[in-house]
Amino acid sequence: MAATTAIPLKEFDQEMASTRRLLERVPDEKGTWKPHQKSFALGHLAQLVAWMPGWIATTLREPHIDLAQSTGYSFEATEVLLRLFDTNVQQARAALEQVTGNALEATWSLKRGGQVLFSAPRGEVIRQHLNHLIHHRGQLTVYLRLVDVPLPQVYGPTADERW
Amino acid sequence: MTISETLLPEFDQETISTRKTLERVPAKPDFVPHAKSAPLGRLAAHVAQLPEFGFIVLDTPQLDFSQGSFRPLRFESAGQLVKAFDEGAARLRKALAAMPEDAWEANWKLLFQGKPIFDGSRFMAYRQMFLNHIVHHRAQLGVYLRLNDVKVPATYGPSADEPWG
Repeated sequence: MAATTAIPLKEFDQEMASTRRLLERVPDEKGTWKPHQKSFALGHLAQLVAWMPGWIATTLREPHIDLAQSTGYSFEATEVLLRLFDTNVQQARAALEQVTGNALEATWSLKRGGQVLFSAPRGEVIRQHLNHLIHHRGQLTVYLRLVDVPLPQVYGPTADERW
Repeated sequence: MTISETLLPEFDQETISTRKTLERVPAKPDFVPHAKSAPLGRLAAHVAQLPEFGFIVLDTPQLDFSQGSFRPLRFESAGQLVKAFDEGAARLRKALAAMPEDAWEANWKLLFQGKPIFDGSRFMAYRQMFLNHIVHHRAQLGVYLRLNDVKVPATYGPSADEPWG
């Protein structure tokens, strides 16, 4: 898979710009708020979204990610999450700029401890990371609406921002 | 590998998750999580109709929303939405598989009363206005299902109701 079809830089830049606009509006004083008892807390959802561009960077640099080494969730100030997000975006973009077709076709694995949970060509994995990010960002838009934060546009007009 | 060949596995995977979510839409079309939110019926119908929009991206050079050629689907039942989704997805998949390589770089425009809302390559239009867009609204729909105590399907990872795989 060519880099141009996995995640074109133009697409990456647009998606990261709209993601940042949402993250900027996360009210960190409501970090523990959740819409339903089975739901993820707002602060943790925002932290996950801030981490996810880093998965793209790591996937492009390393042959695998080991979940056993990942850090747990915490409640952080929005400013901290934005710095983390910006660093991750910068690293992912640099890695996307440098990646070659061969590296994208190479097999990449998700592991927990020594166990391989999932393997696929790296190009497919980074694509799934982006779609996964869009998924959690979509959830975040509903969370922000429910805590009365005006919503910026992502793909189209919102009740607060029209065409 | 052609561009279409790289897009098909992603399309198939996302289609499975979207279908699973639509199957579970409860008969509460007027439910709104917030006064400013889209009602459940409208959101679910929008998700079900996006493959039809994706097909237009592959089949035409542009669409003007204000011309009325793209009519919003109205919610009747989960079964009706799944049927519309299946028909749209089958048509889109066929067009996707048959897409000539150079057609992806061709220009595509979305207009509203003549004003461009999107102006770029067909590839970018497909990704942003169909694929990424459906993932976005499907995720919102997942939260709506959760708020109605409907079990949320696992998509990219486990949900509180369904383990991975």
